[in-house]
Amino acid sequence: MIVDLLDQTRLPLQDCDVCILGAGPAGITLALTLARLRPDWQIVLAEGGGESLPTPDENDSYRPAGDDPGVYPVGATRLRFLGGTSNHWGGWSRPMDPDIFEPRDWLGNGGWPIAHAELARHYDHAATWCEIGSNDYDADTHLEPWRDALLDVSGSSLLCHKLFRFSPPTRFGVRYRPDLQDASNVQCWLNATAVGLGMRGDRIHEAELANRTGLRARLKARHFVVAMGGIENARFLLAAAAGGAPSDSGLASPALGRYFADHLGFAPALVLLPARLEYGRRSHESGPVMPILSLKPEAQRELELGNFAITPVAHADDQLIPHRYGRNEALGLRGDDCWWYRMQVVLEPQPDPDSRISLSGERDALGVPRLRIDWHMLDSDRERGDRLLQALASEWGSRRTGRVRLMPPELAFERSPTFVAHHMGATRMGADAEGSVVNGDCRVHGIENLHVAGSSVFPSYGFSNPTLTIVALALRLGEQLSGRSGTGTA
Amino acid sequence: MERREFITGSLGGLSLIALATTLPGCRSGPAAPVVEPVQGLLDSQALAVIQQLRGTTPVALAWKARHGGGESPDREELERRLLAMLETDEPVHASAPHFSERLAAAVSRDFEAGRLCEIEGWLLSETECLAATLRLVLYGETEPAGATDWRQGELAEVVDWGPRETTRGVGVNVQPDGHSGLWFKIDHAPSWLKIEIDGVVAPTVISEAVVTSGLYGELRDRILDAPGEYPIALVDPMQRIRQPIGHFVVKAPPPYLVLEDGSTSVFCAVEAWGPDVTFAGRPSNPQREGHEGLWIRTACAPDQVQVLYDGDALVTTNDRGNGLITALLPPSHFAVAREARLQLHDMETGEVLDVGVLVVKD
Repeated sequence: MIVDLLDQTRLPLQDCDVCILGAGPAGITLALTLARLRPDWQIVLAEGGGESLPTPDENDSYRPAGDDPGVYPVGATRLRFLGGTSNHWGGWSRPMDPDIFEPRDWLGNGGWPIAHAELARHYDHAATWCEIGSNDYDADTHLEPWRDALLDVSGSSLLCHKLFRFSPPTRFGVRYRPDLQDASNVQCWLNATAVGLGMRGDRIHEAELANRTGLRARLKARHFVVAMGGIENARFLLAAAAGGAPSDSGLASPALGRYFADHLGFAPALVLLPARLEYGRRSHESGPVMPILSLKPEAQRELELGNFAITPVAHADDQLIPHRYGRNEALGLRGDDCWWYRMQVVLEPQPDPDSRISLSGERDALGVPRLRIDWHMLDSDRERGDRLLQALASEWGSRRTGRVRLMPPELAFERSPTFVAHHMGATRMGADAEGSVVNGDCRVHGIENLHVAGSSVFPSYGFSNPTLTIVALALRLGEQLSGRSGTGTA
Repeated sequence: MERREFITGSLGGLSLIALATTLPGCRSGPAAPVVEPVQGLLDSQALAVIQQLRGTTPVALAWKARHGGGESPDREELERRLLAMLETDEPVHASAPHFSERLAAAVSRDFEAGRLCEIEGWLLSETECLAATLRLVLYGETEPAGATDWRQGELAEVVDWGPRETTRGVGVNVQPDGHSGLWFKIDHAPSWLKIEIDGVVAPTVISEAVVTSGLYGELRDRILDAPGEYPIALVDPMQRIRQPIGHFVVKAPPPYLVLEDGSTSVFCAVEAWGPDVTFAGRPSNPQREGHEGLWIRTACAPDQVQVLYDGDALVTTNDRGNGLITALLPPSHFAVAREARLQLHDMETGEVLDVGVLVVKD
C-alpha cells in the first residue's frame, strides 16, 4: 500500500517490524524482499519525497550549509522521490571485482569484512531486480566475436578486458510501484522524511518522521534500516548520533561521515592505437554489453595501483602524429594504420578519512542540520593516474602497440579527474567501530537493531557503478534480517 | 606529471660498423628508391629505412626546436647517437632489414627502460625521436608517396537512408539546432564509421538502431543553396576507405507563375501538352472505351487539379513526381468537329490556368 503523508494528520501505523528509511533501489528492494520472506511481518518504507521529480524546495535539504555551493554538487546528484537516484541512473552495471574485497595495503585499504563469494549469489538475483539480461560477466566468452576490434591483451600485458552490462535502466519507483501498492504487509509512506532516531541502550526504539505540512510523529519498530542514499545516510546518522550514542558504537565511530568517496572520471590522454578498435556498447543475445580495458590484479599489486576502467574512444585528428605513423615498423609499431583515441578513465580512489561529510549549525526546513562536504582528491590518486599513463606508454611502446599523449595544458580540465556521482564510503563497513560504522552484516556496530543499506557502506570502491552492488547488499540484508533465504524474484 | 628531459645516448666505447648489404628494404610501405651511399655512419640500406619513415616530420621539427634549432645536432651526431641506441650483445649492423628490426627493438627497449622523449605530450622513445630527426635532416619534409590515398571498398550494408532530396533553400528533417538530419539504417554499424556528405566528413552518431548525421553549418548552407546532386558515402577515416551509397538531391524550386495582382499562382507554366488536334469519333491518343487521352506537362500543379474541357471537368491524374497531368476525354466530347478550350483548375483555390485550344476535325 502507498500512502502520501501530505494527506495525513497522523501516522497510519504506530509500530511495525521493520522500518526502512528511504525508498531508493536499496530500500525498495529490501522492503519487497522482506515482504515476501516474512509475510507475517509489517514493513514500513518511509520515503522523504513524493512520487514525482522534486521541486527545488523539495530537494532543498540536500543543499549544503551556507551560500557556498561547495566542491561537490550534492543537489544535482541526488533525487528525493520514490525510486531515489535510480530515477537518473544510466543503467551501467557490473559487480565489484573480487580483488576489491581483498586487503590492498598500497591503497591504505583493509578490504571488505565479507568475501566476494558472499555476494555472488545475490548478484545473480540483483541482475533480475535491475532487469539485466544476464549476470555472466566473462569477457573472454562474450567478446570472442569482436576479438579483432579489441586490443591484444594477451601474455604479459598489464591489461585485461572486462564487461559492463546495462539495466534498461530500471526506475525502481516506477517499476516496483505496483508491487509496493499490492504488498499487503508493506506500507510505503511518501513525504515521510526521517528526522531522528530514538535510542534506548543499544537499541533504536523509534524513528521520528516529519513533512512540510507539519506532520511530526514517531514510529516504533523492531528493526530500523537507514537507506537514504550515499550522502544522506551519513548526514542522518551524524544527526542521530548528536543526540547521544553509546561510545563504542558505530554512531560514535570516528569513521562516521569520513571516507566519503566518488569514482574519479577523466580523460588524461590521447592514444595512438591500432585502427578500428571498438569499445562501444553493442548488442548481444544476453543483452547489451560493453567491453572496457582494466588492470589485471597482479598488475595492480606490482604497480601499486587501484582499479581502473579504461575506454578508448575514437577521436579527431592529432596535429603532431598522423595516423599513418602506425605504419612505421622500424619505429617499433606494427605496420598497420593506427588511429587516435581519447582515453576515458575511471579511477578507483584511495579511501581518505579527510574526505568527509559533517554537520553544520544551520538546519533545513525540518530541523535537520545541513551538511558540509569536504571532498577532495588525494595527490596519491593523481600520482596513481600518472603512473597508469606511464605504465601504458611503456607497455604499448614496448609491445609495438601504440603511443600515449598526455592531454595538453589547454585541455587540463580533461586531465583533472572529477566526480561521477557515485557516493560511497561515509558509513563504511569494517571490523570494529574504531575504523568503521557498520559490520559485515551492514549492522551499525554496537546497535542491535540498526542497519545501513546503500553504497555508503562500501569500504573500498573499485570502478563499477554501485547500483548493482547496492541491490545485492540489500538482498543479502533481507535474508539476514528475516532469517530466511530466497530473494530471487524481482 | 612533470615533463621528462630528453636523455641522450652515449657511444659507450661501442665500435660502429656500417655494412652494405643487398637485402630488401623495410616492409612498411612501397619500396623507395635506394638511396645512394653517402658519407656517414649508416649505409644505403639503413638510410632507405630512415627515408621510409612516415609522419615523423612534426616530431622531428619539435625535437630540433627543443635542441637548439639550427644549432641542433648534425647528421653525424644524430647517426652516432642512433647507432648507440641499437647496442646489443651482437655486432652492430646498419643494414636493412636487420637495421629496421634493431631500430624497432631499440624503441621497445626505450619504453621498457623509461627512456622517453616527450614531444607536446606524446611519450615517444628516444630512439624514435632520433630516427625522426635524422630523417628530417637527410630528406626534408617530403613524405613517402601514397601515404594518404583513399580507396573504395565496402564498409557496411546500408538497408535504407533518407531523406534523399529537397528543394533549394528548404531544410529537411530540421532538428532543434537547425541542422537537417539524415538517417541511415545500417546493419551492424561499426563505431568508427562516418558519414561523408559531398566530400565532408559530417558529425555522425551511431546507435544500435540507426546512424544519424546531417547537414550542419556551412555544409548545410552550401548544399541547400545550390541545386545539384551531392554524393553521400560511408567512410572509414582510419583506413581511408570510402563506400558511396547515393546522392542527396537538391532540386531547383518550381517556377510558379505570377498572377496579375502580383501574387504567386499555384501553377507553373505549362511546358507542353497534347494532342492539340484530334478527329471526330477517332481519337489521336486512344484510351479505353474510346476515350481520348490528354497530357499536360508542367513543373508543378496542386494536388487537387482538374483538367477542364470547355468547362467540363475530366477524370484527371496528377503525377507530381514526373510533372505530368493526364485526363480522359469521353467519346461524346469529340463526336463532332469543334474547338474546345483546355484549362487546369485547382479545386482548392478555384484558380484556373489556360492550357490551349484542342481542335477536333472531321
